[in-house]
Amino acid sequence: MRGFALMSPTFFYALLLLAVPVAVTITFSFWTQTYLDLDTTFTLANYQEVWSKPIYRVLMFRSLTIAAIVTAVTVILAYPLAYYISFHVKERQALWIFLITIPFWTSYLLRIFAWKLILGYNGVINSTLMELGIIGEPLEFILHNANAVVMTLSHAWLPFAILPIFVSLQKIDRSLLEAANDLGDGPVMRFLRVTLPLSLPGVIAASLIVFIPTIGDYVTPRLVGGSDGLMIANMIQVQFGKANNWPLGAALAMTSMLLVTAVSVAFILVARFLGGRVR
Amino acid sequence: MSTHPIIQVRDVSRLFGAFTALDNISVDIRGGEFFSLLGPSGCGKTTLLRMIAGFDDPTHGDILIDGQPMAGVPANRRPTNMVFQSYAVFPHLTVAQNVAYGLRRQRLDKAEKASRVQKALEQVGLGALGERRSNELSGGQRQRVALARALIMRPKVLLLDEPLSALDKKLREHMQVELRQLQRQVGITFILVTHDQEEALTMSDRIAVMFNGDIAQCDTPEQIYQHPKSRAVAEFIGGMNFLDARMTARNGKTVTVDAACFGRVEIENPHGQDFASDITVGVRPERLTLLIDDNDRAEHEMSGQIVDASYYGDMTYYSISVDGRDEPITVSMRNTVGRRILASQESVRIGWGPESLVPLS
Repeated sequence: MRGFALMSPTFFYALLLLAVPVAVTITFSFWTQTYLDLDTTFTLANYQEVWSKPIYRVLMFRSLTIAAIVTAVTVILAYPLAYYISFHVKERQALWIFLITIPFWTSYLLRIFAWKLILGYNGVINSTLMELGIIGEPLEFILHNANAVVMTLSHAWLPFAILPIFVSLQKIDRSLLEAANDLGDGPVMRFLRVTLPLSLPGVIAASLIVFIPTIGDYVTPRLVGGSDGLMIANMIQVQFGKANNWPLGAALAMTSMLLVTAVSVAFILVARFLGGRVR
Repeated sequence: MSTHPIIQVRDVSRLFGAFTALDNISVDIRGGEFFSLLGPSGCGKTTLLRMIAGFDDPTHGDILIDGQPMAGVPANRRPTNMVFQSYAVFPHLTVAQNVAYGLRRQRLDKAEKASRVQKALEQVGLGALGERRSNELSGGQRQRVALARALIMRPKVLLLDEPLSALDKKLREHMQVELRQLQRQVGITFILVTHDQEEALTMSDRIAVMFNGDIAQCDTPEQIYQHPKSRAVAEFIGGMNFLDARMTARNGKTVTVDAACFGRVEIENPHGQDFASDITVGVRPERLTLLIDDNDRAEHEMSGQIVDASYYGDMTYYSISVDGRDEPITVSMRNTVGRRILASQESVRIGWGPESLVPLS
């Protein structure tokens, strides 16, 4: 009873801001938009449209692909950093962690605009390369496409990925590493057989922290993605906005939510399975 | 046991900045012996063990294992294995996988690997627990896993870093006997690091007592206990009465001392040590006898008065004030059948012989 009392404020807050909107969205997804009104008879037509029209499939698949690439890039960049801070920084670890959070001091939107300035047609990279005479005309593959989305999002999520990996590395009892050494493993085998499997929970957490919000992101694709970089969330935004078809938007939202859940669960299971196979 | 040294530590020093963890240490450890490094925390015993294992390097000096210099040889290429203080059982592996961990390099086929793992598990009494995860094990079982995992490697030297300190008293005593038996059975050299004098005395063939980065005495348990070289060693191991005395003569393996309540007496100096003329003489409490009956006689006697009696069940420790000494002398008596416990204020005679006294530097 006491436990419930302790968590009830949070519980009701979450209920209000998470469960209720989700319930509303689910309800909407079974209705139909009739110009200015909503037809509240139960229908699966929205889901039928979502699953049958190629445009939604393309966007959904692109979102999953971009999110997977962003996740992979972020985790691969974050792991060595976390490893370095955990194993090689002897003093002032807290300072390093603090420095990693510095990007959060600027707003998310400002960071995206900063990337626009860096990657743009007349941006920092292009003008520098042109001044140096390395390229004749501006590179176009770095802005207004999926590459730009991957770069911008990876940068935005990096600190979120470093922290869980760092924590899981910190938790590894250092005598386990000495034991692996003592039993004949060199540095590489020791990493593969002990450090990596024991930091797997951190890697899984980091992957989900990056993967799930990336699928739903619509600001970054909108600002740096061009038309090739648009993702499913942009389409949902359009349905709730200009297209004014809330039921279809709700069906899209629910579908992508289910897909994200399915992919995440599958990812956890596969990662655990692979981790359990390390000897 | 052979006399051939399996480990030679030659003039080894280890400095951490301005702090000297080990100060020019030399010691030979013989093949097949159970050797203990005994000392208080911070004396350098663990540092020495870790340098033998290859987790740390000497600042000066060499360590040789089986005649081979170990400088530049990493831990994974040394013929040693270690049982860690925390046991370091891999939490993501089962007991059998833990034990098999080090066999990877040997490229055994599956059946042989399984049979060696099973044999190692049976050796430490864990035959049925191969499939358990490490979080399902008790402290004692974890320790056995760590032991099996090291022994399966058939190392030339097994290093044990305070392996029993985390166990409760009963289990610790049981494991002392078991470890000793296991060592005799496999014939591998064991090097044990401990701060527990009892553990070192009961298990070891030889003990090196260490203080402040130096080996104070390296000898058999009996020698260490009966003939400690210095007051520090004597104080660390067992209880002892210390008396200020004057040395009046030194003659090879004997010295003549003048000790307040014991008078002038010639005592053994088995290590042939040099002493200053102001010398400390030590007497173990059990090397003195209380002459309770009037007809009890001893070679030398002195009289005193009981100040305090502490009853320990099997033994009683008496504090006795004697003439010519301010502090009371401690005498212990075994509580044999029919022997009464004396009360304080009772007058007693203490019997002793010259062999009870030990000269200390």
